[in-house]
Amino acid sequence: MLNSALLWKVWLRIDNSTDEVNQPIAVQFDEIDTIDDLKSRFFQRLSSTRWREINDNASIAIGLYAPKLESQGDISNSKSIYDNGDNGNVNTFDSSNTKNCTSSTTGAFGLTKDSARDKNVLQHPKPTQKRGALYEAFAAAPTVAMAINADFSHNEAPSPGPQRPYSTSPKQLPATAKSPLLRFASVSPYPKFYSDNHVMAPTGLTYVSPHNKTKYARPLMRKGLNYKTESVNDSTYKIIFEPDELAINIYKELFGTMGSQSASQSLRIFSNVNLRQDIPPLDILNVADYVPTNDEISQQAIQPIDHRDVCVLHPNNQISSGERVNNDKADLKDKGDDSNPQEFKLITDEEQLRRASQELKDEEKDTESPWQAILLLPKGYKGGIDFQNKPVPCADSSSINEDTIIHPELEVGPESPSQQSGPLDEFGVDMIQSIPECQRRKDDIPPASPILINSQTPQYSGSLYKTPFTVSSPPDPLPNLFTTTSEKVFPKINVLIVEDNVINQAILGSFLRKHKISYKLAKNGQEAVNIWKEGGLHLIFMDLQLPVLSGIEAAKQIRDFEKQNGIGIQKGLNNSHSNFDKGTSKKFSQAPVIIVALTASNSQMDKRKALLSGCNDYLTKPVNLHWLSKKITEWGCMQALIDFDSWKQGESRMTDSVLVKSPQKPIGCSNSNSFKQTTPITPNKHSPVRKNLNLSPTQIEM
Amino acid sequence: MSTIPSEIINWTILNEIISMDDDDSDFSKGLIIQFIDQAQTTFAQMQRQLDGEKNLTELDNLGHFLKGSSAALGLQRIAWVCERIQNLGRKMEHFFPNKVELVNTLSDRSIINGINIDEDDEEIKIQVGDKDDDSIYLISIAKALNQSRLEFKLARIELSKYYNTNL
Repeated sequence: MLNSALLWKVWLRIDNSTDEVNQPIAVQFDEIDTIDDLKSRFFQRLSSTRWREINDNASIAIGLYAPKLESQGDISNSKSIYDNGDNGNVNTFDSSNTKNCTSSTTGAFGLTKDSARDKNVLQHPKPTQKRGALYEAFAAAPTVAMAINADFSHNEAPSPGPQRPYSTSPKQLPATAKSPLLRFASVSPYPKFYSDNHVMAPTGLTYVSPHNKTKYARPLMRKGLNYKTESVNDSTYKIIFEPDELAINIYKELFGTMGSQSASQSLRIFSNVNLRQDIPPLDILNVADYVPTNDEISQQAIQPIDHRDVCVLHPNNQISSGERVNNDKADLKDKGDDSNPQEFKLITDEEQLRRASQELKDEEKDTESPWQAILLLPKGYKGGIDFQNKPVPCADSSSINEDTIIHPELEVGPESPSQQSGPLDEFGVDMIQSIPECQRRKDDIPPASPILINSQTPQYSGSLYKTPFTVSSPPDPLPNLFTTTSEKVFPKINVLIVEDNVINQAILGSFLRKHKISYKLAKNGQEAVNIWKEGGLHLIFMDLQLPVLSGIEAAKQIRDFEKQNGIGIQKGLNNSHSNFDKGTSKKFSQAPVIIVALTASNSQMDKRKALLSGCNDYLTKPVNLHWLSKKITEWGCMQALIDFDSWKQGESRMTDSVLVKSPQKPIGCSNSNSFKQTTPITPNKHSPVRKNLNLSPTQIEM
Repeated sequence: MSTIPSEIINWTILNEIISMDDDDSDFSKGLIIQFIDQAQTTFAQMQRQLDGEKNLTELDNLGHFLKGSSAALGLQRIAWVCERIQNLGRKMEHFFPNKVELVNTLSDRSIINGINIDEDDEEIKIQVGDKDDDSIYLISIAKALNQSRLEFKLARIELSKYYNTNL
């Protein structure tokens, strides 16, 4: 019944388009394609355009313009039912009664009707002649672009209001049958117009040419078409097809035989987003796979938020890159949604925190983004964090639902270590604001550090900051601060570079030196394992293809050793908390080292293998120094949290490792020692930090 | 197989290195000089492999090694050729494009004026069927090695221009 020799295609055109894509575009389809499929195809055709970037299947609709007209259905044939009571917007063309409506038609423009000819037409057995009422929209308005002025013989859809819109067409015949809203199984109310050339053109030629004023239509539809109408102005409304409507049905309804539609009869693509508005293209990145090239990094005006600057501890006791990804995604969403990003909340006690987190929870309820973050920072923190204490008298579910981000204060200047004299009881909650990478100076690249903010921008202190960064944020003084103090914000960690190429060693080493991060070098996997065994390492950058022992193998070996020594494994879940308070428990052992693989940028397999072998993350080579500094901060802070005690003791401890002195002892012991040394800080009931530090170092599975 | 970059040097990458010169004035230049030595040594090692042991894994490693440093310095065309050598050594790729084809991809072809692009080429001695299945890979690697010598030469010219010395 359809001309199968022709490719099935339908002309589509973006409504109101202002730039590159405003011409009709033919999209192929087949029998099973729905409107939604058409949209997808259309996007494929326009894959490289800006319009494509700001639209997706959900943001566009396919339909057409139709003028509002009173129904002019032929009284003699159509028993129209006018459903006054229904203002609903979903209409259904119904064809159940079409066979009864065959004898005569009325010309929409006062054209002469010819019943005899009409009959011929109708008796014509070719199913290709079947036309739906919607067809009239095009028959009447071959250039639908001007649909406002075009006549439309289709029965008008109901206006949303109680008043029926009246016709604006001067040519319109006195309306005798009003059937703006058609209910399923109602008699077809559509006027029927038949033209001569309809009869003459049974083989898929263009039935209606722009100069042909003859109108014809058939209400013959075997299936109801679902669509919505939307009033545009007094004389026009949009017909929008439902996404699951079959394209073929619509085509047949509107144009008849396959191939009948001309480019000027394009269906309209209605998009929500107007190109004229300056909407920043917000790429939805798959953060897990997304590795920016250097070019992207240098060129991007707007960086996706990267939260890797901060440590993320999730109360559900897992930290993985996957969760970080979730977090990032949530941020991206926030960036798009949040219209009021600069809203800070001051949190000073538990009650406020609970309320704030509840609010966040409420706000997030509808979205699929459970990772809304509350950033908690010890303010002016100088003492030891007692991770072991579990003060959860009023832990409510809301706070557990969110990522709790804690950042212990880093040393701001060389003098600060001396200030670490004793525990401090006062805590505050601080805010972290991420900085778009592009705002940082290229060579300084200090990742956003909460400490910096804490120490240098007191106006932010004690704030709960909901959206870390939005595009619309006014420029703030932070980037400058970062530039000036960049070298002081990296956590004090020991890094091992495992790289066989001296040039790459030199680059990485020089970078670390520049940022005053102590590092060691290993030129193959075996060396890496040996150096790791000496202890004191927080972070390993591991090249994968190495002589002697590959990076993958080395990572596996290190993880195996960790397992054997119980590093990072929680022992005895049933131990009571009192053990911790006494400081006698060996429940927690030292944090596992973080291994960041250096992989070839194009090798997904390498990345997978690296992660499987026990690496926590990867950087692609050539290593982008921006990302490198982010990783160092991210993982360094993580280490500081996980094994805060050893971190706090700084380099002296790291170089002076217990292990080095007594290499026979398993590494875990050094840690338990350090736990014993920890003086538990006095419980402070008013400290929200304490409450939210309901996280123990080894609850985090690496 | 990806396409070879049309620019000899990825300045975005190299500039990152150069920006570290702030602290250590000749840092980047030192690296480049180090790289030149390294590349020449590596080429020689590859040639030895092709002439002698014909060990594909070893060639893979050598390709990987030089790829690492050339990519880190932004010498992307060399890195690309090294990646071909690496993949040929792993038998993941099965041919190497012709020199003319690759030279034509250069965005600024004026750089090849006045140099003999075949000057450094070593004769490809591997006989087809010489070592069973490996021969096609060895021949391709030999071609790639010749190409990498040419790319190395071009990079050197570019870098000499930048540093205003004969590197």
